[in-house]
Amino acid sequence: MKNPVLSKELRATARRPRLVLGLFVFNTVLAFMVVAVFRLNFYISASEVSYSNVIRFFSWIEIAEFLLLAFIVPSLMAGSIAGEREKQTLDILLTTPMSTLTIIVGKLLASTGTILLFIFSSIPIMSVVFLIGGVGLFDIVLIVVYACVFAIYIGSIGIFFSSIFRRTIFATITTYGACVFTCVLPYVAYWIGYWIYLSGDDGLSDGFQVPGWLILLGLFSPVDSLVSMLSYQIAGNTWYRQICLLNINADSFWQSVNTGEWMCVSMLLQMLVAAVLILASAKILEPVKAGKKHWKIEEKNV
Amino acid sequence: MVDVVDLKKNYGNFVALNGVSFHISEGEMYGFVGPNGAGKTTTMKIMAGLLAADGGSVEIDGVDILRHPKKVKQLVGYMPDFFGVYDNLKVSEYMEFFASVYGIYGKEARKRCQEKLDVVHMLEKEDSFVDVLSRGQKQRLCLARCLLYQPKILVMDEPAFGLDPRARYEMKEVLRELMDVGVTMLVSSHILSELSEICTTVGIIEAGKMVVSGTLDEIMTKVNQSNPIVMEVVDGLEKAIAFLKEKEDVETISTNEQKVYVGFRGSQKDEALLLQGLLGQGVLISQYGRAENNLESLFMQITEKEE
Ligand SMILES: Nc1ncnc2c1ncn2[C@@H]1O[C@H](COP(=O)(O)OP(=O)(O)O)[C@@H](O)[C@H]1O
Ligand SMILES: [Mg+2]
Repeated sequence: MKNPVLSKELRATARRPRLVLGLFVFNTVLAFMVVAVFRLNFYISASEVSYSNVIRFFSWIEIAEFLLLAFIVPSLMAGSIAGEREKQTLDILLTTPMSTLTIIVGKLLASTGTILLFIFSSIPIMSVVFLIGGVGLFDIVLIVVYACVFAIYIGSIGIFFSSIFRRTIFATITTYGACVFTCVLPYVAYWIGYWIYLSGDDGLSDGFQVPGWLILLGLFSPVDSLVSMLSYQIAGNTWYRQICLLNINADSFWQSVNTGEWMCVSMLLQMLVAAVLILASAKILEPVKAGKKHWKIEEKNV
Repeated sequence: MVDVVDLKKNYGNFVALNGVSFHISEGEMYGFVGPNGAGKTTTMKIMAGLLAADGGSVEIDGVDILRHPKKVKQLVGYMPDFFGVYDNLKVSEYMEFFASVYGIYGKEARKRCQEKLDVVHMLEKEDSFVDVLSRGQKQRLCLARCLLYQPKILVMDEPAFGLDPRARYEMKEVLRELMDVGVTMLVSSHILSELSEICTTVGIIEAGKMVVSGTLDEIMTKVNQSNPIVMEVVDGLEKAIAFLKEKEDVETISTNEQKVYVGFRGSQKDEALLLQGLLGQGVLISQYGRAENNLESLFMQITEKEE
């Protein structure tokens, strides 16, 4: 499937020196990290390798990439449609036979594509960790899949607000707001619940159970998908396991589902939300709604 | 070719279009003239499928575009009054992007783009970046983009606005060439004289209503009927005035030295008879005729009348 908007955006982006520079800096920093971690940690002695350090290092790469996406995607996406409005290029696009869905998807893929370029470009460096072991090919595939889902998820939030607002600045603010909201809402709810529980408690505080609906909220939070992925990948009672809503002390039904399954469900659900937002944006962008009933000229004659 | 009938549009309580109707025949260049805020852009946006109308109908090439908003995109080439271009794209890439939007790729696209750039005299700019082009060049580029898929009608909103005389001339040349090859066009302007040279038909819109429409000659005669007859009386001024006062069709008489201005309701024949009568009284007249309007005063006269 050819998407004209996608090819045009990629061509314009590829011409920006910023992109090449960014890729270079990103991977250089990553490479230095790998070398440093190698020298400092992995070889405790010539014959001994600390696998737990390898894995910990790996998890930091994942978190770094999450943060990279979380900061860049909303700002890229928020300007995608509102920016065309501001530059007065949108009207021309809307008078072409290209569907608004094609425009939206093209914009989304172009921006997430740019970001995914960073992720993909870091695969060779991440793969160095392979050499030592402890991390498998599946783990790397999982990271890339997660990054794609995350980028598309918050990207679709961005494009939704970008279609609503005339000004990029409003779209940017609301997009960041919505992203923070989806990321932290389940945690805030959890801590409020926990606090209420503690205040009404006689001191024996280890019986608190996460209510089921809170877990459902957690499914929409990319942060929770991230920590559940990390706790799926990394054994042991790490901090991510402890903060993972999909994992902690839930009531019995919810507990019967394991972290890996939660992670899949949450990614699927997030893709679903993204699809709804993309379709909604395409509808919003339609200048003259086809589905809308028009007045009937015949009616006048009656 | 194009039939706009009783088009209505409100912005909230504000009535922007209050029953606009006009007809454009195939191969015609229709000049759409009106002061700022008259509703030209609104009409054109509705025709381009960018704005929903509140009533009336627009038929282009037999398609009711208000009922089938998707179809309009194949029929109309629209050039907005203000528009931007993308940075980081060259002229040829900009054109090829729009070619791909119409499903034309590769060699065919390249050929078609060069062809259309040539039509608007922009071929030598092929390798420039679009964001450094002048306004006139951007407009011609936008025109070339519209031509990529052979629309049934070109809708151009104030194509000459903000252009220097040279760019305006070039634009006019391009439009004239397009007219020669039979492209149907609707061109708007708030300055009548800008369009009078090139348009076959002119419609004047004021406050959301069409005031007059027709060929320029038709409009001129229609308006001239309300102009005074101006005559230069060399001898027998009193006799002339006494004679004029008795005529039924004469509404006003004013004089300025030898010149006499007569508000006169009659037809062209009545004008001639009036002259004959004056000469019969022995009045010597060196000049006689309806005051001709130039375009601008005509435009002012038409648009004022409606208030
Ligand atoms: N989006 C809008 N909201 C409210 N009023 C508008 C809008 N667009 C245009 N108008 C008003 O409608 C009238 C017609 O505008 P327009 O069609 O742009 O006129 P023209 O192009 O002839 O100058 C103007 O009085 C303008 O203020
Ligand atoms: Mg206008």
